[in-house]
Amino acid sequence: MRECISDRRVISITAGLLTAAPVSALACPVCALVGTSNNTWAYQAMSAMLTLLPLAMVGSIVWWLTRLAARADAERARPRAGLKTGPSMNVKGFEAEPR
Amino acid sequence: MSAMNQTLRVVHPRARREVVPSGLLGMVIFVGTEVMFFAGLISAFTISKAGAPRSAWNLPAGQLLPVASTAVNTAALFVSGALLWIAGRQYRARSSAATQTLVAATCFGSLFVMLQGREWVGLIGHGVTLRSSALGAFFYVIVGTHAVHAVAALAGLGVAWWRLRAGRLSDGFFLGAQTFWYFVVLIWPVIYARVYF
Repeated sequence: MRECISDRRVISITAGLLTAAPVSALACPVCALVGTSNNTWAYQAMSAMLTLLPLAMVGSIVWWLTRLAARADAERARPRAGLKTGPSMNVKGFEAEPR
Repeated sequence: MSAMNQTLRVVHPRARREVVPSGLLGMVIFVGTEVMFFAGLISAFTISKAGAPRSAWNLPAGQLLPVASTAVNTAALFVSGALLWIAGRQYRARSSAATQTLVAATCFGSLFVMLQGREWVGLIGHGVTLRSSALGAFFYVIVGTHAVHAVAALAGLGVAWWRLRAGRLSDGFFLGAQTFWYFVVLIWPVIYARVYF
């Protein structure tokens, strides 16, 4: 209970100080320019870019891998024309040629 | 006997398949992290430039960034990317011409790095350094980081060429080296448009 009151005091004093001197709350040196210069658009555009870019990249990679896997499944399911079965099957013919 | 047969029956797990070479997938993920790295640098540059007074955002002694000569360097880089694309097609077609095309792509890439280096020497000679101004600092950090990536990618292309010549080049390695060089080529116009103009 005592600790709780102490915390409340710390919070009230900090809030009072920051209200009295709001400039001290600006930890970011670039943030001091907000309102004094025309860089709001830059903040918004860069925030959008840094948010959307990783999502777009991860989405693209997942889509690409899904497409490749679906293509591999389709190729596996397709019956190979002229394929002989049994001991006479020419397995070597289906291997990649050595470079 | 039938009990023995039942005991020895092996359940085959579903065969694993490689839909994309591991080397290529690893490189794609790495390139993704590098894209975010450059996005962070360009973001910092854009916000700082937008917040700075126009008179304060320049190089010392009225110097200007070499826009025109860098356009020539950019053309060399694009030619290199196009040649690597052709080399990739020749490699898949198992054509022996892939080796020469790969060498030509590496030469044009090296030309880009050397011309950039010459520009840097000129700028440093005119007093433009990392500490001379905010624009100078951003210029050297962003363009320098790109140059480091270009050199690393050229080393990869060199190794690919060496292995191709020796007949030991794997598809995964070639595709990985190709992907990294494409990243270097395609990120450059973004840097050029943001930093030089």
